Amino acid sequence: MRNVGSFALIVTIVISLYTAYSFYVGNKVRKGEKQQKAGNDGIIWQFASVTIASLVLFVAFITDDFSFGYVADHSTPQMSIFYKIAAFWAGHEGSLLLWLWMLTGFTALLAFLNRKNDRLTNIALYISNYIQLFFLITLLTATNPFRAVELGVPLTGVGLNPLLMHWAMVLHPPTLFMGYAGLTIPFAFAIAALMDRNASSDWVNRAHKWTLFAWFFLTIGIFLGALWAYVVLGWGGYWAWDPVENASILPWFVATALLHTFTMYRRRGGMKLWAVSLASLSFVMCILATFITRSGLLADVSVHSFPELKKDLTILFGGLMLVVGGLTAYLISIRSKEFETQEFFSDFLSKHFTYYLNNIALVAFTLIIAGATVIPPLFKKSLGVEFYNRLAEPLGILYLLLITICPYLGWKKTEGNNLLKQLAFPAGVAAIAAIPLYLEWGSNLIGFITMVVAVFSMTAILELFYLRARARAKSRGVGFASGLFSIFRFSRSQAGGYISHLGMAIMIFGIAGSMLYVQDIPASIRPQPGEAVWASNYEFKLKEFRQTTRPGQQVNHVVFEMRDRNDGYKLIREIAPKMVYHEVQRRQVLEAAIHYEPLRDIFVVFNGVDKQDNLLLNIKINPLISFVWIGSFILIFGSIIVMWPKAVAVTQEETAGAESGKKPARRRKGALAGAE
Amino acid sequence: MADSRSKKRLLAVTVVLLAIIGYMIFSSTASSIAHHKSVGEVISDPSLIGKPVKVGGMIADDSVVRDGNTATFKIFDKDGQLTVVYTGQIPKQFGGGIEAIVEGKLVSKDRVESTRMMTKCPSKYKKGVREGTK
Repeated sequence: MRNVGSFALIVTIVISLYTAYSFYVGNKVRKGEKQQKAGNDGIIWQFASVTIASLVLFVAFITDDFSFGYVADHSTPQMSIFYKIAAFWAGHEGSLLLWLWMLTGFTALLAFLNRKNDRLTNIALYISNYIQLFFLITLLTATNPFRAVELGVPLTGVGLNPLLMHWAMVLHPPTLFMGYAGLTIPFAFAIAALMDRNASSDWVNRAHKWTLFAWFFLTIGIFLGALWAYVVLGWGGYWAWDPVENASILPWFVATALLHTFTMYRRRGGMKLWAVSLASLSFVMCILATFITRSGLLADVSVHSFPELKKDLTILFGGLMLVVGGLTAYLISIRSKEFETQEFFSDFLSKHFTYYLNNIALVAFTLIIAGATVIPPLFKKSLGVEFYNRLAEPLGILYLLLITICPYLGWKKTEGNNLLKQLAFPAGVAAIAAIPLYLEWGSNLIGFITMVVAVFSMTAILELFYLRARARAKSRGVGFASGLFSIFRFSRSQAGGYISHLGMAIMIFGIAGSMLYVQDIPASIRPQPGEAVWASNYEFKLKEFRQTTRPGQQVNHVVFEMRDRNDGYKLIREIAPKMVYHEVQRRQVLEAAIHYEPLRDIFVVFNGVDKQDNLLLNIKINPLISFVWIGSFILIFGSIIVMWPKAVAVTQEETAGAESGKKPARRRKGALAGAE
Repeated sequence: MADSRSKKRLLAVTVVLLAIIGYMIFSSTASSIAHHKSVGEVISDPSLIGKPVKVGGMIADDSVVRDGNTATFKIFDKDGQLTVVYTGQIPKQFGGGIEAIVEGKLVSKDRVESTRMMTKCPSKYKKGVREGTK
């Protein structure tokens, strides 16, 4: 079966070369429809044959075929089928195959829908075909998932790490890869537009949905990773600026900048060079992220991981990043005239300026994090969490202010007094909220400031909806509710964008709480029932300490009665952290017990027994964490609103307005007085 | 279309912003950079005593002693071993044979006082948690 997989990949290479040739000839000559058609078919056939290769590997995992070296390294017969499937993407071989499979799926869809033989799409497919070719060559030369097992066929494989056996960890990698593969498409369209000297918004219109789609999956992927870390690994830690976490956030930052730049491109004909550069940079960051997590580079920010660096992958991925960067730079340099912006910044109080700042900020964050993750390990050094936090705290606050104020500004200029009048209400709300916030959270200045700014931000965004809905209701002569409804119905990208901003503000409020106000309460108690620990308003009263056994494992349960001291020691629940001792490996795995509340989570960890037989405990209180999850949902929900197909009538109205040049300026000014 | 005055103003603001961020990076780098050392390098270099180190090694079997919130254990590599006195929440996976990376201060030739520790996956899963997950 292994040969079937490898053979399918080799066949795909042949089809890919044929596709490249067809597109090359077809896109060059005037009447190349026939060759272009052949190229489109080639793209679809590649998807078919990569699907066969992927199915071979899936079947190998499901049937425990340990003649596959890759299966033997990551699976074992005892695992449930759910985790056997997940083991597909547990290492670099399967991950890259999955990446390729998704990419071929996306390009096949593009080719399938390309009935009109669209020129830009044909060039974009020509470009993505080379990326597919790159992955095919990488898979066959450096990281073959169909390699043989090293010594004889083992009866049982190694299996997945038990920590990874969690639903969020199963879904996390493929979701991220959906995002990475998805961002290949806007990159291909950007290069296509540059090659074809087509600086109109054609390529943006084609790439926009793909970018949103990729962004949506990236966001979910990062969210799942954080959730897993929170529940399984970190006891309340969900973001530790670990290299793998940093890697996943890099393409997200650039894709976020790209989405906003698309708005500027489509509506105002601005930031064209920004758009093509960001499309390319977001793809480079996807490659870098895949490389960081899958090559062994800085696998653990540890000196020990360096010998594990896979040289061939480094050369291949490094080479691809250089080629993509070089190609983009070259194309931009020869097309800079065509892609010159049509409407340039002229006033600081304008969307032009805030969009520009947004790009500068997001690209700066990306480069700082990428640099801090990749560079120090080359010198056997690393940057600690403090480095990132010290930058993230002030910059996060400023960034939140930026995204809050931006929607209030006009494209070219804004009337200062009007802006102040509109922002007076959220500022007032924030000022009033500051008093209780200070009493509760004043112990940490930066946290307190973040929360006040977040309240300002949430109020301002809600006010924005109010103002927009009122203006719409007035201009259409309808009620407020239908005005609000019409924003969601007809201006989806605006409404969704604001919703996402609201999600960000809520999330940042939660981040401030759950990062800066975590309480660690260590305790040790005698192992006798009735002994108690107090934490916050709770009493944890030891009920029993018992041991059970599972095959090869000894499980220590510490069962507490959790009682509310403010409510007459009322029994809330039983809570039982565990320590699992693996006898063969002689090592312990701690399983915290978590008590969830709306405004905070309480983790109870049993750390073991000391010399005097005391039970060692740690109680962690993580405040406001639910705001992080709710904020993430709202953020993701916002992107769904934008992705939802638009009502046709308004699309036409808006494009007509944007193209006639003068009209939108007047319309904007009119709107400025009312809502903006 | 861009008039040169706006362009200059925009450029000036950008330069100022990047300079501020640059300064922030510069000022936080110095205090948060950690030097990676192997166990062998740490025990053979007396000049490191009193300095912050980040050192990785395998936890020695049965070397862990718990006392209240503190865990004392030995880590080793092919060149030697040193004692770690760690205060804080111990990682989820812990015990002999696990690879630990500890950050802290070298207080004597072969003793590190640490408040931050991460453990790599058990060596059985040779691909490791990092590579195996994300």
